[in-house]
Amino acid sequence: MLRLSARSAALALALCVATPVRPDTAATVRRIWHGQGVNLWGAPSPDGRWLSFVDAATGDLALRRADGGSPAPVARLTAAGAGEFGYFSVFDRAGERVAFAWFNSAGHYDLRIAPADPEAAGPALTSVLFSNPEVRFVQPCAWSADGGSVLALFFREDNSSQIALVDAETGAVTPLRSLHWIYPKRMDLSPDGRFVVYDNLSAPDGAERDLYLLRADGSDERRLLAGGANDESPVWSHDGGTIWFVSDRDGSPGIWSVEIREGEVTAPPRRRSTSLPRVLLMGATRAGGVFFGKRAGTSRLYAQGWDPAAGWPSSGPEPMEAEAPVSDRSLPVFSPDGEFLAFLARVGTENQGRGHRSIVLQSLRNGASAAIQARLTFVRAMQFSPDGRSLLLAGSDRRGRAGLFLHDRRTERTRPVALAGGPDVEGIPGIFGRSGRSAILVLPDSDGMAPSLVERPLSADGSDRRIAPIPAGTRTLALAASPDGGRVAVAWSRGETAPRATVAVVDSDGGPAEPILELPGGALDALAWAPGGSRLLVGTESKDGARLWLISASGETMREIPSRQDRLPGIGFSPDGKWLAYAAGRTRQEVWVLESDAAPAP
Amino acid sequence: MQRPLRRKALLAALPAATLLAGSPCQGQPLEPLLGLDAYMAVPPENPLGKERVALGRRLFFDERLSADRSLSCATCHEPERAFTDSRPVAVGVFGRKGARRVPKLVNRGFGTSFFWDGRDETLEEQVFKPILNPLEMALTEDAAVERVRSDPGYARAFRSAFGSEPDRRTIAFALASFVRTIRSGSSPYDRHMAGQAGALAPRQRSGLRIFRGKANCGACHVGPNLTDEGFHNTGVGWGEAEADEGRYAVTGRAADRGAFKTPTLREAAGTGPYMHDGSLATLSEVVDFYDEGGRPNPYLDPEIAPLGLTDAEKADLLEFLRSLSGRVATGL
Repeated sequence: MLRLSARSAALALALCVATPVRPDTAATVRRIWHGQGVNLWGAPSPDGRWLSFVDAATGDLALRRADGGSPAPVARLTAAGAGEFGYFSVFDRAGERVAFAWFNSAGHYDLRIAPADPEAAGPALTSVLFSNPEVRFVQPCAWSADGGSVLALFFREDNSSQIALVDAETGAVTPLRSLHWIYPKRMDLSPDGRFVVYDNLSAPDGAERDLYLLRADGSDERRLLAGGANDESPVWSHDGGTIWFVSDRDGSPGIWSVEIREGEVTAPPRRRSTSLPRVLLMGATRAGGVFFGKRAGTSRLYAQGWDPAAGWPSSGPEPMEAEAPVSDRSLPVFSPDGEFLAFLARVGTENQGRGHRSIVLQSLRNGASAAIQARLTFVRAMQFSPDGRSLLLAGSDRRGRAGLFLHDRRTERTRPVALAGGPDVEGIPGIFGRSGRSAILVLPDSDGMAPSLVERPLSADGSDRRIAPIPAGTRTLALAASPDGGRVAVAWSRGETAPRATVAVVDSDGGPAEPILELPGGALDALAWAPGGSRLLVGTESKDGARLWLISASGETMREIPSRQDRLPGIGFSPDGKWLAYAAGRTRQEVWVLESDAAPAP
Repeated sequence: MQRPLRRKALLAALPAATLLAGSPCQGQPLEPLLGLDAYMAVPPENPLGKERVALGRRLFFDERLSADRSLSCATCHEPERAFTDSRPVAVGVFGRKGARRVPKLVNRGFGTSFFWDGRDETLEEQVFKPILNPLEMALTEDAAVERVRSDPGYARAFRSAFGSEPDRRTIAFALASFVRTIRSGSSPYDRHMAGQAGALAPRQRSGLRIFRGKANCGACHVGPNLTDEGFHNTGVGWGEAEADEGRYAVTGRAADRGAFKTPTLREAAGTGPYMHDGSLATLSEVVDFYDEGGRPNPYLDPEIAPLGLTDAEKADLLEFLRSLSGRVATGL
């Protein structure tokens, strides 16, 4: 059924590599940081000597040398408590302070400031500038030239985003511009403090972005460049004369710049880098350098033969053929008739790991592919209805709501089945009930009610049927229905600092959730019933790699099956039980600096 | 550091007028109201100014702009009722009834389309049309302009504000300028969103949770102005003999059949009746309507579904809606 070929790896790779494009000005790029622990949430200091980052081991905000000095982290600015961690950060224009987002013990982000002096820095010197539970997330993007205010992006509890200025002394907020559910990937302030440049969708239902120039007093806004391209991730040069951004305006994504004076473009945009498919800008230095993050590598789909009689793989994983011109494939799901494979794929450029992912439906007969317009920004899990006409999708929609959604392929409408009512973008896992006319899901804790496994009708009639209680304080990881629909496997994790994952089996008609497996580390990332319905396939992920396990439904036997160590979350069996599909591959992050000959001297 | 300093010195040397000239939309600032954005889209050809706003206010209250000189804009858009009235549908000259409810005008300056079906994209396009509508003020364009021109006070004011005699364009510009200044903010909800503890009573906080969660109101009523400026079919008016096709009449898309613009919920309390046809007399009826899943029809918005709210939840939701009333300001 599946067409596998030895050429498919080369073909897939070829489709993912953009045609080389030459920049129209001489520029050099230099790698600043690579290897373990790289993240792209920091920014360079104005003198280019330091890079702020989040220490993945502790969650602390820290500084590391960016000019070829000691490669080790040299200064921790914070002391994260349990469950706390830093996120985006930005230096002030004097290079003396860092404003950063901090996930606090109350469960939301606040805006903090720390001295940026690596010699004097320390957790005791950080201060909370702004904290409001109604602002679920705050991303500092730039400081005003006088250090008196911080340009920040708010994500509010009503799921709208807002561009705001925060007074750096008092924390008082001036909301400048609300953008409903769509938010800029990045924004910056002109050095004179008069303009905000940000990216936003060109059209509400579109995918391409444009750059917008907003006066910092809110008195005017305009589109900076003509449309027809995806322009995003703007960074303003320290001399105020250039806006750097990421664009595909000549057909291939890369770093571009446009000259600007008094809010007016003075020369056409120019490409400043070769093709860089997945890049986001992190900040500029006084010397004219532009730091950027790059993600390299991709993920692909693999199929592994399965012998239903033996209950064991009949072959090793082989890459699946790749006609569709998309990269970063994940989450393969077979249609009930076995004719199609649905999967996630990246379309467009970088977005902090979110958004710009489309659901692709690919024919397994002729390779033809089409996009499913589900209008979700994040999908963690999906399943076809028994008749193949609908999809259940766990994730987040364009309105910023996380939950479980039903997509009707005929009408192309997507509606929520259940909403999480919180900031967890991964949503609520769910599966179709036996008839396909209901969804089975775990309703999370709310208002003192413990979570429950319920069956919810997908029509307007009827009410929820409680199947089983789920332990309080747990987070549901995955659900899977047995082939005959008579049992449901549910996986949950408990605890924040040292989570443990549990797999339990429940009778679909009701009854207790009987645990069959406990995993320390909570790193369960895949769950499926093997053909025949007597065993479960469970995926785990640790720093040593991903593994797949075959477990009897009673939990008595457990055996590892050969699979790729770089397997990604999610597994799916073909309807005839002869193929197991999953995605595998690794992406790596690197920090680079682009230094242009046209840039001003230090 | 040298280059930014040189840049700052260059900017400092420019006259203030130069700094302002880059923004043709820039006019005089509106008084800040808690909860509202600083940015409001203003067309560059019609910057906000005190003279234009004052002129617009005068026109807004001028009954000469109706055929029988009995109605002004303010007759239906009553300032004390958040610039709407208490009748289910608009009633124009000679008692002529329209088909739709008089919309509230608060915060329309933040709007992106106008009329219940969104057929106009700017206030400048929209504001003159009720004057011409035979079911509303029923004047011809010539008659309306002539009535304004014949008033020497208007003529002077228009020359000062626009440098020209009154005409359809400048009358619309003046009215649009005034409507932009009609704003509602600084409500208990705004104080809550700004982080003020205790700004909402416990039942209002409970109602806010229901608003965002179980009742799914936030699917459309979002952001500082509590509207997505989108168009949705909730089933209101569906199935009646003379069905109002709403947005469909503008776009011709089947999916827009029976869809109407999401109104702001600011100043919702006490400004009924509600919905585009004024068919629901009270907020309580509105909550019941949504609790029952709207009115089923082939084009019902997928976000509309039965909610299963309890009586206590409905009561808390109503308490929250009352927190959306704040200060209604006009003018510069």
